[in-house]
Amino acid sequence: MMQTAEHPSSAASVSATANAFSAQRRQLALWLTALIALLLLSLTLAITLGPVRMAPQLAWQITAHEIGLQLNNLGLSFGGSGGDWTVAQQQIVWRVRLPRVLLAALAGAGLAVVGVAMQAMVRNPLADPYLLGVSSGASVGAVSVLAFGTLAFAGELALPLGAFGGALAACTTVYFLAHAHGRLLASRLILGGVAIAYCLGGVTSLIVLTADQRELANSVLTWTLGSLAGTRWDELGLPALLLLAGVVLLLTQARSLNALLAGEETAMTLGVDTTRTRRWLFVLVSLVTGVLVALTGPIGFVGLIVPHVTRMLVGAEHRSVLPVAALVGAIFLVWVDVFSRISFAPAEVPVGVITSLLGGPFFVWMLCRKNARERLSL
Amino acid sequence: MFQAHQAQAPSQCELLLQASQLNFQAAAAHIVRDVSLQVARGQFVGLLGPNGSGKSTLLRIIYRILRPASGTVCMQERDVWRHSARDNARAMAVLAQENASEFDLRVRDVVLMGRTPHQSAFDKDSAQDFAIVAQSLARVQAQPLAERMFSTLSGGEKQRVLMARALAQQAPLLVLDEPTNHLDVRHQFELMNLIRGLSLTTLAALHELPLAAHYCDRIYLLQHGALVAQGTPTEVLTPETIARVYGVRAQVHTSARTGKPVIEFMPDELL
Repeated sequence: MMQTAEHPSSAASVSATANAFSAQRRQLALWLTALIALLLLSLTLAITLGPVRMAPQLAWQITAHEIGLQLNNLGLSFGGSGGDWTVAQQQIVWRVRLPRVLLAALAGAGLAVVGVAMQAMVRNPLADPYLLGVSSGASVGAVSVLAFGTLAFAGELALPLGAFGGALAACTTVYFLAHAHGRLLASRLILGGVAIAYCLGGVTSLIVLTADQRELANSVLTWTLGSLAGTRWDELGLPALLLLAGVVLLLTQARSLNALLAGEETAMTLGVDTTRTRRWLFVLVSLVTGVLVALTGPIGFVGLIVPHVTRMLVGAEHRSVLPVAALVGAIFLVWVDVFSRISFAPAEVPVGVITSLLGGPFFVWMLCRKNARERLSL
Repeated sequence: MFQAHQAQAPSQCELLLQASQLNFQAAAAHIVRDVSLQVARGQFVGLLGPNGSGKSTLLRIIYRILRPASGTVCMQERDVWRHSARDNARAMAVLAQENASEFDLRVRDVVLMGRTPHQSAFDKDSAQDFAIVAQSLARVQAQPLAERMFSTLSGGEKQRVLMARALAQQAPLLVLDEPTNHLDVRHQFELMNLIRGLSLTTLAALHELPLAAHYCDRIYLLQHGALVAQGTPTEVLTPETIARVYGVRAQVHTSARTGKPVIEFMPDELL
């Protein structure tokens, strides 16, 4: 505006800058298109892979047919008579694999987005809901619902609600533990998070072992390892809704997240109400983590690996990072789940075991990088 | 926007910032005792004092990070604590001392951050925002850096880019906390010339007395959290005051070339 008069020669650089920004937008659109295509391909392949193999077209035909049936049930007329497949194939695709593969995608996307949000909140790429004890808090909440029947008034929502409560408590505790002399210290954050995670892990075991319910102990053991087995359709609604709401909310706050990367004080001087922002970030992180943990158990390191890879692809600007991380996370967990299903067949390994096997070394690699050593003063 | 304001300014005496009787205490080193200061439109005001004298604490009170135990900070006659962080960010742009981020952004995205207080959650970045980013980069001669990653810049380049971010805020007051820290002599002068060349109203905590003597219109001198002197560089930077506050003997001459005080320290005669 006023400055244009002062720098008439800068007109060229003004349009160059505007062009650079719009080129960046086009590039993001390209990434998103490519990743959506890759996600669809991954979902399709993930359905076809397993003890019973089938052709990709068949998976699509059965899916299309079933969706048609659902629409018919809703009173919408949609063509689609039976096709050329067996009942067993239909069951495997529609009842077993599709919901599971979709939950893998939702959980992967959700955990990745939560990782991005937590990392902006604490300004540290090593933050992850699993590593910092948020998942453990959710586990304690969920297990107390199962063992003691707390929150019974909430009906079916008792489990996710309990997990949310536990996650929120853990998240807040770790955050305030990480502060010393008004500063958030990376080393305190990581150590405090790990300590809380261990402590809460002990609480979970204690509740399970003393609840005097043998069945509970068995089912909880698999669950605490993080598993997608036995996913039902009716479980997908809540995480899908939350993920969508979470990503939209975070995108509207992307500028605040960017500003937080520059530091809490800088964010405040840029007009961000950091206290309020932090408050709703706590709630969002705990909600998504809680609901996912209630369903799948804690699946570790997705929130660490995926945001890091995403930033290497598209940079750290949050309007790019958020949608790309969600897609990369979805693709990542779909494939990790496929691997955990078929690599040790007929045995099946919980997906959380594989993400931990990948995530541990990844974390060590991040620690060994030069700037990480400086940051933690190791 | 702010230049339009400046054009309408009735006189040089219009007060932009008025801090009155500020008191604050957190730790031994973070004390501010009964400090009042004013910054008039167009002035370059320096805040001086030895390490631990409370310069940063006072600035953080002024830019609305720390709430004073008593006293008020008024920006354009409005108490900063009765308005939001967002309102304040449109009134003053701050270049604080904060270590660089782990997360690497492109320079133009860093400057775009300066537009944050002017945008609401659902706004897209407008063509005007992009234009302001480009102009801000141009004003600090940093257009060629626009596509670089912030972490790859030198110390002087980083400060210039952060200046551009502050300019993009289009705030009438610029607050700087030791902007020349970690810069070598040449880059110190380069940055100070640049800031002076912007002819904005500036309040800067400075470490180097010679810089303050050359660039400031007015100086406030702090010791143990309290003001011990204020006035023009010639009034404040006297051998007696320097000896009393810094514990260093010095002679002060007036430069024949600039008419400004030149400080000659006598390192062999510490007090």
